[in-house]
Amino acid sequence: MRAGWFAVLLAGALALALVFLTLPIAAIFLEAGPGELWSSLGEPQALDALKLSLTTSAIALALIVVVGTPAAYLLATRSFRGRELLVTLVELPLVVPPAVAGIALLAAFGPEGLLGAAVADAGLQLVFTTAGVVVALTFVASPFYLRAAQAAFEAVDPSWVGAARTLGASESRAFVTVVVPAALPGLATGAALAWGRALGEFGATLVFAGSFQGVTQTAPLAIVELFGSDFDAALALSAVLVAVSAALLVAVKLVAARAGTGLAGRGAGDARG
Amino acid sequence: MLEAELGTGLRDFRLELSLAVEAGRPLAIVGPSGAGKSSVLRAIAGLAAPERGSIRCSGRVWLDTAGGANLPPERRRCGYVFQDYALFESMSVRGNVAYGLGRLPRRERGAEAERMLDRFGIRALADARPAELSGGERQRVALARALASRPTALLLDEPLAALDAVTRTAAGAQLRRIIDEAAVPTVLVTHDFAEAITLVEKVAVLEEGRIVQRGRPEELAAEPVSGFVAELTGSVVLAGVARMRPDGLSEVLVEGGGVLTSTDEAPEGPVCAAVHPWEIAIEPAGSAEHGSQRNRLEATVRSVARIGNRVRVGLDTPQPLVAEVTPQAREQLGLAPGVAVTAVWKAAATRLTPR
Repeated sequence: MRAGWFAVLLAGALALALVFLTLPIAAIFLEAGPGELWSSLGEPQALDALKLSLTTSAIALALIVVVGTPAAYLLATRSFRGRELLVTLVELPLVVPPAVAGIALLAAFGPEGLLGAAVADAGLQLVFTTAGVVVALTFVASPFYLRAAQAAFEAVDPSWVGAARTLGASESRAFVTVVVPAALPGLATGAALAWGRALGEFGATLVFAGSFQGVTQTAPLAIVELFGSDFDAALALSAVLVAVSAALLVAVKLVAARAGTGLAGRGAGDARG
Repeated sequence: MLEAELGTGLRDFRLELSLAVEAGRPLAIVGPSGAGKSSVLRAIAGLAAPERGSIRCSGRVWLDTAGGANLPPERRRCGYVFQDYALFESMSVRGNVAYGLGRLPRRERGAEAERMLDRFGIRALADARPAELSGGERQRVALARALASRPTALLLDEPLAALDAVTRTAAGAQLRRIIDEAAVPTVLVTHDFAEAITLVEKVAVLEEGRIVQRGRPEELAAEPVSGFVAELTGSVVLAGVARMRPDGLSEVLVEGGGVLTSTDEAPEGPVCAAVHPWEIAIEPAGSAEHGSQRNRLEATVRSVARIGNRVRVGLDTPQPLVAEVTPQAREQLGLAPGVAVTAVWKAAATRLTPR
């Protein structure tokens, strides 16, 4: 009998969580009809915002993966003094409120900021520019990828690297041919999380880069601006953003799964030559 | 010829050893878990850098901490078979075997990989993933991969430990043939002395980072330098305190009760008395003394297990004993748990070592 009520409790808790988490998402699509969805894509403001969100988040993700992958590998495989401190520092943006992140970026890279002069000398203009959006997205989304990548690399059997090295592979070749394929599912999950975080970014972008249509106004910023004037348009753009985000996440996972088998096949193909 | 002389700090003790291995005369390093066995292999392969030492193989210097030389593992090219085989799970069996063929021109790699698959009888598994293989198959893939790269030396970490008992016998015989054919200096490490006996003619016993005895397996079994080595070789070991008797024999007061005699001349003081299980005979409890210099300990049978054509009998004395007797003796004595018996063996079969 005890198991009976406990099973009911578990099922009830899951049902409650599911309804609470999916009902608002479903409501967006139920409230915004297909016709409104379609016409909202014709709105220049919505279209600009969507395009900007996709390009800036894609560039941010590329930067995060290119720099974050080797950095996470180092954190996962080397032990050195202060390693724990480094891991914590890298995770810090996770707990910083987005608006504070924007202020922090201004303090660092803004015209009056710590590195403002250096940024200007390099001919870069970050504040109120698309480049600034990329900086803000990279800042808030990096820890998601770094954490997942570090965990994925830690789970790879170190003796695999040893085996690859004794078989004639340099450390970098062992990394590319053995470690990355083994860690790929974890890396893909991290990339998907980081991309999702970048697509939804609002506060840091607003503070650091502003909200100018076609330049720095990403989809979340456009939704908030539309919300003040045209709720239906805000609803429609929200629906599109949800659909695009979900599609991207699914695509990343599928590509990663396919890449995993593809890499392995190529290893064997090399041998057949 | 592979020569290594190493010194480095491990977690609980220092590893200090030197060894020299010729091609065709493989060396087994035997010791319990945590004695530093794998650390020796890792240092030879270049996967770990010892604090000091030198390693030479076939005239090439791999490591010379004094001279500042340290070749990376990919330039030493040891064939390394890891304890769990470390097969690349994201690649097929063929991909694993071909991984080490980088030395060959690209167009020759395929044929060479196929040749190794055939030689190790794993051609049918070429497209399988390692996760789909049995333990014995994984071991063959690991060996094929290690040898396909034409290694300069062969290092085997517990090569049979991951196999079940049935597979192990066949795999052991095959491994011995493979080691012979490879004709390169070979070092294998194992915690199992019986396994070492089946694979090599030269054994070094490693205890807490130091080689405490080297020699042929039968020499170690017959003349262990310590209770540790005796136990490792499968002997029964009893702790006690020795003193010399006027007649020239040693007498050992066994801890927990009982007196043994031994023909060994041991220093007076704490000793280990070692005897092989097959030297111990079992007689009915309280049987009359016969034969002058026999050791006798009253015991209760704890367990009886048949192993092949022998019966292994676990005995409760103040310290546990194991005897091996014939099935006939088991019948005659009615050996079963709880039966009181006397364990008997000759003073001449009792080895004493200081402890």
